[in-house]
Amino acid sequence: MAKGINIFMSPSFKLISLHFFSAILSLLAAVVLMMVSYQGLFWNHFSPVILAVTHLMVLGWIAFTIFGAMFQLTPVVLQTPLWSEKLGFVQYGFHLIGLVLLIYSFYIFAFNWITVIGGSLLLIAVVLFIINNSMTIYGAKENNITGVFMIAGNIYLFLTVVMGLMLAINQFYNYLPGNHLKLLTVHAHLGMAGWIGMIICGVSVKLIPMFNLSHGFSFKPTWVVFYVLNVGIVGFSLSRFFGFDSTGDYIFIPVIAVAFLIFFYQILMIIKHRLKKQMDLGIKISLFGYSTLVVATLVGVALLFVANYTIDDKSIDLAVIYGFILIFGFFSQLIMGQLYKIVPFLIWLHYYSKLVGKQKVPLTKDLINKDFSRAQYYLTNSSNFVVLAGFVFQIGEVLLAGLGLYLAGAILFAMSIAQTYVRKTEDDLK
Amino acid sequence: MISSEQVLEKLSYVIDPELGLNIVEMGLVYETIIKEDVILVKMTLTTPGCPMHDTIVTNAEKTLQRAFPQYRIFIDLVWEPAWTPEALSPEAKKKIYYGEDE
Repeated sequence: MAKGINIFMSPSFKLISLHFFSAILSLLAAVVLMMVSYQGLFWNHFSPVILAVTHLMVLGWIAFTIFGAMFQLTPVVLQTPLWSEKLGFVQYGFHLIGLVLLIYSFYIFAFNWITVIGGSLLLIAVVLFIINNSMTIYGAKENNITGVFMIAGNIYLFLTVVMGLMLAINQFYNYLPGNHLKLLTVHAHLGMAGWIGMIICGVSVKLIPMFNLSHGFSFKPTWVVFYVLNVGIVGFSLSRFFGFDSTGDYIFIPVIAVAFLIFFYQILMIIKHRLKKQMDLGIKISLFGYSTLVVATLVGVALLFVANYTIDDKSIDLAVIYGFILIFGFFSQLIMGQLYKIVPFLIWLHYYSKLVGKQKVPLTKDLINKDFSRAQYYLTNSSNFVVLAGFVFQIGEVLLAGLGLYLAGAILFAMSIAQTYVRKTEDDLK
Repeated sequence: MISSEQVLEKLSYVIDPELGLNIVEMGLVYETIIKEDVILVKMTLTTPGCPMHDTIVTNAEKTLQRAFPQYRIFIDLVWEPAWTPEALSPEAKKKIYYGEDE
């Protein structure tokens, strides 16, 4: 019998689709929320709408995508079945209810039992995910570089949510020593650089070579990223906890930045060593995302020296601009690009794999509506610049127009992904 | 008795849907052995941990089983020698190296 042939590792179609569907819905909701309350986006980064939107983007759009993608990819990358599909559905229930409660309480800026219950439900969802993912990794015959990043990512995810919950409780039961906003930055870095950063680095170095058929490059830079990034995040967090704020920031923020720049170099090496010369839209959008990471990293370092600037006597919070570039520029572009690659793969496995050898089957690239996706690509890219101009120059109308364009792009993205689910007949393929 | 060519012809229905190439032109099939009622296919994948691992191996087995029901099919997935781009057929190389951007 062939090795691995009786290990059924096909991912759960329903569980993964449910996560991707919820992710896209969260993105649309976040953009609508921003449009409805766009004036609030000009306050400092601790404003109700920014808190609500950031968490809807990170815990909705990004987290649902990461969980769905990890349910899909961990089993295939490590060649082991998902530990428990049922637990995945239970986790989804906690995640969804927790998210709705948390966003509601942030949006109305009331820190009370709703915040705590929402945060606690999210913590339960995260713990269930970590158990499921860790047991799946544990079941693998051998681990690899992606598995190592996933384990680190899971630890940071847990710390992020625990710390978030502690901060929420601190809002009405003031028990944490020190400045609340300074600890909030640790929570944000644990989440963005620790959890999302680790997952993106670990998964990218597996997927980008596969999609591009890259051969003959070294993974050394990725291992360097692993150590440097961990030193940066742990150092930054500890120095804040022990009150060495400014000294620690000047040392560890650049360390985190260096890690991400090395990661970008690794991606460039993978692309340089690709055999498949043509680039599809999914890869182009992803590369645009990786390039935005460089911009976000530089702005992040600049924040050490300039926290805000003034236009017409208005003080402008640079952290808001940084957050936008990071979340809407880097994370969102990368997610969109990668979903254009992994959703067709999921659909292909579910519907078409069994037809191989019996009839003509589509390729994964045939499953994406090229008109929708191309229009989305241009719309989303241009809207990012318009929104950014709105933020930088503090012009409400420009910001609103940019968000309108972004919403149109996001709707087109949702339509492109939905189209992938429409079954192709043999006639469609002629 | 069937020939190796017949087995390879059937294996060419098994595709990598991402690249649009079949496993024969990708040079993933190393050897086919036909003995009595057994077909043994020694093959590899471009890299361990390939997301197409299960699909390609299962499809290869099922396609051969359908085509040659009187035979028992064995797929031996090996990692030595490792696959290199040199194994691509000239047509496959052309498709991969000179394809156009979308």
